[in-house]
Formats: sequence, structure tokens, C-alpha cells
Amino acid sequence: MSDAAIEILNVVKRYEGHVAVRDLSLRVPRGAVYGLLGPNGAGKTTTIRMIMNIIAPDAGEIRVLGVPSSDASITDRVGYLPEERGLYRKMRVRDVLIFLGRLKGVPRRELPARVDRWLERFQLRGHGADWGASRVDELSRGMQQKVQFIGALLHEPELVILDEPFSGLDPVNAQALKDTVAELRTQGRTVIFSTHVMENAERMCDAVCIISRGEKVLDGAVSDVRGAHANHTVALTFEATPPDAVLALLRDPSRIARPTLPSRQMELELHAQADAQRLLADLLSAGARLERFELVRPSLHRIFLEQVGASGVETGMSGHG
Amino acid sequence: MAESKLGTIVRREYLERVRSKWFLIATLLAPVFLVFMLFLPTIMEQRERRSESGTIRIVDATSDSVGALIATSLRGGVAGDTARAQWVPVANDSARQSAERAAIQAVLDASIVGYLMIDASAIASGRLRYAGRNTTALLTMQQLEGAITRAALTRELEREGIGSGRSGTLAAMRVRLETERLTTRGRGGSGRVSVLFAIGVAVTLYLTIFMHGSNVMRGVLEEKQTRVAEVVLSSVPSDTLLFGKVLGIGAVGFTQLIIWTVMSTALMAIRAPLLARFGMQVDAFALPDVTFALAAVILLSFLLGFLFYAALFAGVGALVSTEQDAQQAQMPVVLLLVLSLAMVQGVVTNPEGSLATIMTLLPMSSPIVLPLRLSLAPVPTSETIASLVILLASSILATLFASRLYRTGVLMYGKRATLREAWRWMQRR
Repeated sequence: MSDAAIEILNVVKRYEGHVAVRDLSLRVPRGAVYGLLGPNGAGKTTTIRMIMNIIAPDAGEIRVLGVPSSDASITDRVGYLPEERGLYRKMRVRDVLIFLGRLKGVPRRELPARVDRWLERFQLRGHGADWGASRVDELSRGMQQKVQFIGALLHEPELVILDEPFSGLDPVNAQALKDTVAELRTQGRTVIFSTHVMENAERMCDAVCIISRGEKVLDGAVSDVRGAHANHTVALTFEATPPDAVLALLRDPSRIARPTLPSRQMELELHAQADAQRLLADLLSAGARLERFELVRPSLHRIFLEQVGASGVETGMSGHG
Repeated sequence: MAESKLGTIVRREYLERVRSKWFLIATLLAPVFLVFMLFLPTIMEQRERRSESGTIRIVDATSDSVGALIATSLRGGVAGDTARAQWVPVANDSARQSAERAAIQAVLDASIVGYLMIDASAIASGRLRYAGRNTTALLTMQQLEGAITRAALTRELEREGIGSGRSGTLAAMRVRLETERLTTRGRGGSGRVSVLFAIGVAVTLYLTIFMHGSNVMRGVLEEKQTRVAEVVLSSVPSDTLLFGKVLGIGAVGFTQLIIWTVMSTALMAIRAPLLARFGMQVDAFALPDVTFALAAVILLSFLLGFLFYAALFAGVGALVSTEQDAQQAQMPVVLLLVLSLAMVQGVVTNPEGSLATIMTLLPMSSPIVLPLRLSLAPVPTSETIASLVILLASSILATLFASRLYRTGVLMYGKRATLREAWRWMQRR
């Protein structure tokens, strides 16, 4: 048995008029939390749909948990939260979940207890209330998201795929989602999620893959990715808004590779020939009062911008993300 | 415990619909409608009879009192209801004119409903004049025409030397055609009833196929609009989802048909006592005996016809994203169905003609026309089999195409596919 949860080899997917995914190869290790990052229209959703065998690749090979993704037996071992959320609006929540559980091969007699357990866990049941008996369209959006999330996890899959799981979540529910992902990882399950919010990816992922315009830009363990780009990034925190002389230094192209809007906290990329120690001395002599001056490994956000570039974001096509 | 994924989908589609209020309402209202249709003719006839109670004045300028004969006839005999008709003989033209003026006034006063002007030349030419408030009451007008014809004929026969009693009998002679349907299995029901029954079957099939077929479209559309399709598709192939939907909704229609059959059988059994209870006349109304083979063909026609149209409707559902688009895009499919129903008249008039034969073989109309013809007249077994086989093959073909459209279309949100795109989706393997 392969130790990869997912292996994608030279996969291509074309749509009329454009190529959504071109020659993509990646490998997701078992037990990892894996981030699929990219701007809108980069091909994330298309890639995920191909992993889920909802659409077929035009070329290449995808293996999920060691078997080809087209193998029907694999679906019961995978949980999926699509980017486009939705449930049968007129159905009762409990019935929807039992339906989804049955589609994943959970025995009917086990389902009611299991559904109740999950509803309680997501505060949809208990303290005298039971949203399981309500119709889906009677629930708030946040609650519906939770129900959908339960639907993806109810059958306790080995592999969980979440497409943009944070979109539309309020901070409380977003935290609940992060906790659940952390718990899934301690249980040894593999979690893949796509996002364009780099902070989430950085905090949660063991490994990431950044794709843009259907192509892989980079991939690997988060620590490796950040280490490989840890050449010239400085994090600054000023005590107060810095004087103009300081700001002028921060705009000097011979020191700073990429100017950033001035603020109290900044993350700067130094010019390749610039020296961080020299910059610190110059800043202090220009009258800056610093709370922090740190040579850091760049955030995923910065790496993402560097690699994908603003143009990659702007020209990203909507639709088959 | 080995309920398959297909079974899970069929079960959901079936239970969610059968449990809904609308299923209950539709299933119960249809028989109410049926009862209404069964009782309506009887009720209408009785109402009509009651509404005839107006006086008709006959202004008679003939020399041989034809008007008196008409009046007697309208009264229903010599000892009949004198309020039904008045006879006003006039001797000359001026008397005739003043009598007409008086009659017009009487109509406006509502003391009579109308008046009839007769004179010898009018009878000879066969063109008489009636004026009144009830000229649209067809039954009354028919009765009046009959009475005039009989009266004129009686006088004519008398002039030819036939005795007055005899000429009255001759003029009143009438023929009534009793029709009876002969089948190879012997006599069964009256011709009129079997036509009614056949049309009832055709309309019921049309309605159920239409209703549940478009339910398939709405189901596909709902899954697209709510985006729930993608969740389901991560667990089952699109074919399974489509077939499960079609089978589940088909089972709903089947259930409805069976409930209706049971209900109408029960209703037919209690119809006579019920009518009698309300003091209504009961005419003999025997259902043509429905053979097992006919019942089987009716159910099979529903199943295959539903399958055929459900596939077409599902294809439409896969192409569109909004209810409005769906209304437009379903037109060709709806037209096929409506056209088939429109042909029913032609088939009833001539169940063995070439139109009937063609309609029996075309898959778009055969699920409606085949049971219709079978309940009207014998259909060659070879033709029945050919019809069912063609329908089955077309259903399978339609389902194959629909599942291809569905596979691509179900994940296309927000825009309506063009015909060219649809064609490309169908070719994609």
C-alpha cells in the first residue's frame, strides 16, 4: 500500500476555450493536513472534483488511498465538502444526514445515534433544542454550513477534502472548523483543503501546494517552503508612526526589493544586495523607535504574492476554480 | 441491510414526495374531479329539464291550426302542462302584426319566454321565426324544432288522406340507436361508455406522465440550484443519481395510479346508490370489463411513457439553471405530449385508421394512444408488441442521452446551455 493519500500524476483538464489544469502532479502524504492554495480560478476546484471523480481528467492519473480515483469503492472512505454548498431545502436535517450517511455506506441502524452525536457536537442539538427535527430551510446559513460539514464527516472517512471551507463562516464557526481539522489530524486522518486565505493555511497545514493558472507553482512541507524563501525578510514593529526620514529609507529601492504601504507593523523583503544589520543601524540613526526588528521566514502570504504575482490574481478566471 | 446507493436515492425521492402535502392533495383531488365528471351529466340534465319552465306563445296564421298541434306537443300531450305553451290563432295580417307586438311586450314583461310565428308559406319553406330570451337553450330549441316538424308532418299526412290518429303516430316515429361493443371475448359495455373510459384512461396517462415527468425536471433543477448535486455526486456516479430520481418519481406516479384505480373502482360500485339517494335518475353505466392484459398494457404504457418523457425532461433540467429558463426550454417536450393528446379525438373517431396506427408506433404518442385504442377496438397483437418495443427502445435511448447531458449539465451553474453545447455534451464519452 502506498503511503500517499493522494497521488496526482501529469493531470490535464481542458474546457472549451481554456485549460483549467495543465500537467499537474502532486502527492499528499497520509495523515497530513494539506493546503491547496491559489487565487480564484487557479484550478483548485477542478482538481478537487477530479480527485472526487466527479469529473474525469483528460489526461494523467489520480490515485486516492492507493487506488485509482475512478474506483467506485473509494467514495465511502472519502468525505467531501464542496465549495458550492447546498442541501435539500425541504428535508428535515436528520433525514438529510441519514441520506448522506447511507450514500456513504453507513448501516441504517447506526445512523440515528451517530447523527445525534454529531449534531450535539456542533451545538445543533441539546439544551432543549433539536435542530435535527427542523427543515433545512429553517436553519440559518451558519447552521446549514455545520450540517453540511457533518455530512462530510459522518461516515468517519480516512480522507477529508474541504473546498474553501472557511468561506462564509463567522469567526466562531471558523474556529470550530479549525478545531475539528486539528482533531482529525490527531486521529491520523488526512485532510486536504483549498483556500486563498494564507493565514489559515499557514497555521493549519503541514504541507501546501500553490497553484496558479492550472499549474503548480511550488509545493512541499510548510517549513521547507518558508525556509527556502527565508532569504531577506524583515518584520518591523514601530513604537509609533515613524518619521518621514525613516519612511524614506523604507522606500529606497537599493535596500527594499518591494515597497510596502507604511504602517506601524510591516513585513519587508530586502533587496538581494542589502544588509539587514546595516538597515537596522540606518533606521535607528534616522530616529526610528523600534519595538521589534526580526529577521523572519516569510509568511505563506508573502511567498504566495511573490510566486503568483498580482497579475495571477487579477487575471484569474471565475467559474471552474 | 444491503440497500444499494441507488436504493437510497430512490427511497429519498419516493418518500420525500409521497409524504408531502401536495401528493396528498393531488391524489385526493383527482378523484373528486372524477366524481364531478361522473355526476355532472346527470346533474346538468336535471337542471336543464327544470329550466325549461317558461311559456312559449305560438302566433298561428295558418288555416289548419298547426300551432294548436305544436302547443299540445310542447305541453307533452292533451292533458299536459298548459303553462308550457299558448296558442294564439290570428285571422289576418293586421291581427298578426298586433299579436306579434303583444308577444314582444309579453316577452319584455317576462310573462312568456318567447314566441313562434307560423304561417303556411313559412312551413312550406321550412323557415320559421322564433324570438325570445332563451334562444341559446339548445335543448329547448331542439324540442321546439321537433314539435314543429311533427305538427307540420301530421297535417301534411292528414291532407294526403291518412287518418288523424295514424298520422300523429307516424310523425312521432323515432329511432334510437343502442350501441354495444363487441370484442372477441364477447359483449362488453356500451359503445359510449367504452369511449368515455378510453378517453379517461388517455387523459389520466397524459396527466400522470406530464406531472411526474416535469417533476423529474424540477428535481434536477432543484439539485442544481441548491448545489446539492455535487455532494451526492461525490458518493455516487451521475447515472445512479439520475436513474434513482427517475425510478423514485416513477414509483410515486405508479402509487398514485394504483390509489386512483382502487378509488374509482370503489366509486363506481357506490355510484348508483349514491345518485338514487340524492333523488337522481340512474342510467345504466357499466364499465367495460377491463381485462388483465389491458390493465397490464395501461400500467406498462405509463411506466415506459414516463421513462421516455422523464428522460427528456431530465435533459431539459440539466440544460437550464432557472425556473424561467426551464419553462421555455421544456416547450418542445410539452408540445410532444400535448400533440399526442390532441390526436386522441382522431383516434377515437377511427381507432383502426392510419393515424391511429402511426400514433401507436411513435414513441411520443404511443403511451397515450395504445391504451386508448386497446380500450376502443381490438389492436393486432403484433402492433401492440411493436409499439411497446419501440417505446422501450426509445426510452433507453432517451435515458442514455439524458444521462450524458446530465453528467455535464448538473454541475453547470448560472447559465443556460446552448443547443451546440448540449450536442457536444451528448457526444462526450
